[in-house]
Amino acid sequence: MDALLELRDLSVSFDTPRGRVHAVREVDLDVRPGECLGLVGESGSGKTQLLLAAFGLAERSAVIRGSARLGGEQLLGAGDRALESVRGARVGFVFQDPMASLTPHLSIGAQITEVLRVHRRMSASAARSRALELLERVRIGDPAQRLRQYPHELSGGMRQRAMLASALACEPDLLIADEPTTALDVTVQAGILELLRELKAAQRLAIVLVTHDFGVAGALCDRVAVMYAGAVVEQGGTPQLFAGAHHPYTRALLAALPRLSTPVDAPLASIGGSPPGPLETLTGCAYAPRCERADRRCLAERPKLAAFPASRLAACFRPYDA
Amino acid sequence: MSAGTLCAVQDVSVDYRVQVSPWAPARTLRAVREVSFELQAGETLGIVGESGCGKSTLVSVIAGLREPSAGKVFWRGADMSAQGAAQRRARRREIGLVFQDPAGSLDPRMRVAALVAEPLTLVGATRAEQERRVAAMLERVGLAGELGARFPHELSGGQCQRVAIARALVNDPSLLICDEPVSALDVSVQAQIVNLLRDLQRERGLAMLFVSHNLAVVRQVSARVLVMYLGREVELAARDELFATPRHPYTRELLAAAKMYT
Repeated sequence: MDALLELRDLSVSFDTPRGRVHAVREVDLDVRPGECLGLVGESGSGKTQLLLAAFGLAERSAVIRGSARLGGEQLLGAGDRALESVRGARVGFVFQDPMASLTPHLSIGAQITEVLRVHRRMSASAARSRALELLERVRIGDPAQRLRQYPHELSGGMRQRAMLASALACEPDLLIADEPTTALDVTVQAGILELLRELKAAQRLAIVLVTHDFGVAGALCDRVAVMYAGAVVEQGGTPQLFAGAHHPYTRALLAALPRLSTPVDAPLASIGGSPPGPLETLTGCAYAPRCERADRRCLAERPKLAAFPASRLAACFRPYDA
Repeated sequence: MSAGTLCAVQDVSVDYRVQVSPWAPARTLRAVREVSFELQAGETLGIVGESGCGKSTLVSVIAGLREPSAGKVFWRGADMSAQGAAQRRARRREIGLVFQDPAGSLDPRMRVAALVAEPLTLVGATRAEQERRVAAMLERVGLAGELGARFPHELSGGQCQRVAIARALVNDPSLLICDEPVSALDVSVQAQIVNLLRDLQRERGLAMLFVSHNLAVVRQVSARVLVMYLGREVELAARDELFATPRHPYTRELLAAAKMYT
């Protein structure tokens, strides 16, 4: 099946007074229609920068190379007008902090209808009834009342639902959700994930879920791509990846995640050291200095993503068997 | 209260005055409602609940950073509200604090060694004594000695949290209060800090209050767990009992939500 979003060889770097920062290094990634891809990595791994760059939202100082296509259409280098019609209409965005993404002095209704009036040229009354419908779809209680309210009058979970309603206003094919539940309480988080799962099933909505939390990715995603130091190090179906990862970093990260079933008397598995700094030049595998399996080749040469059985990919010279 | 009781909280309530607008009359928000529990010396108690449930307010009362609006806090059997300034200072020295945002709780203008030494200056330790204890403490929390000359912004989040832990423990407190100490850290670093806190607690026989919204983390470091909801304690039980047979519906809901993705 053709990919909806196709990233090829995408690199993002920034020139700073202290040198060149490589935020994203040659990433290839496909998102197929209707699937949910989890982009998992620790802070600074480049997961957010990758998506910002693909949709023309990166800072002006960013140097972007490679290709990003949505439905076959090249996004990199496209004009502001073209990108504006893509964002909002064909791709919806939800970010971590709904309070920062919503405009504080506009009512929820005004913010959702604005999207519809700009992208769909709807009349004020048509936009209003559509906004009401959208709020019902994201399961906000008392939607008519919420339309008149301002962001500060809503709880965190409700704000995130309102954000979602506005992202879905123009029936996009793709939703980018960047840490959508990180700022929320666990019980509220469970509700938002449930809602995303329903929307995905009901509308064949493709979702890219950016998260630092393997648990959240496991609850929603069909496939997971793991990022480390700006590069994708492993990719595969969620159950397969959880059952047995090829890349030592994925294994270590999964082992470090405390679960309710983790034994309490043994120390938690942790990864020694820390990821390379953004200014470091990498000769070999970025994970090699922290990797217990690394050998000479790992330190000297950079592994590329290679195919493994069951349509999985891993960038490693000394991978584990699944 | 038994002889080994370090701290006892009796029917503690905390109110905040909330002024919604300059024109509206101020209202009272009861953040903590009639909470009671005892903490034995060397015991670990986890406090869980969602944002706004009053868990941070509760520990700030125990730390002496805030006065309860009602109820009493006893420290080694003595009523804290009846104590004078000198006794309060003495008690504060017995309590170490670690907060969520490691960079935000360290003075950005001070070097790491000075940050760790500061609590020692308050008890009048000599220069040589300070240097010796700071070096030992930095080593114990896993920081290389040369990091002592760095400023907080030159450290990673995990390193900053190690500095905060060193600072909290350098005066040999009997109680360590950790308020969401690993929530801002990446998973790989989070495990390192949890292990470090657990090791330090055991080798020093520290009592520990560990506040977190993450049940899986709390389970790792607490012998008993207190669950709070809307300012009230809804369940207090030994760890294994709480996780195996939660009695309160809210505890069950929390556990079910946590199980979804762990």
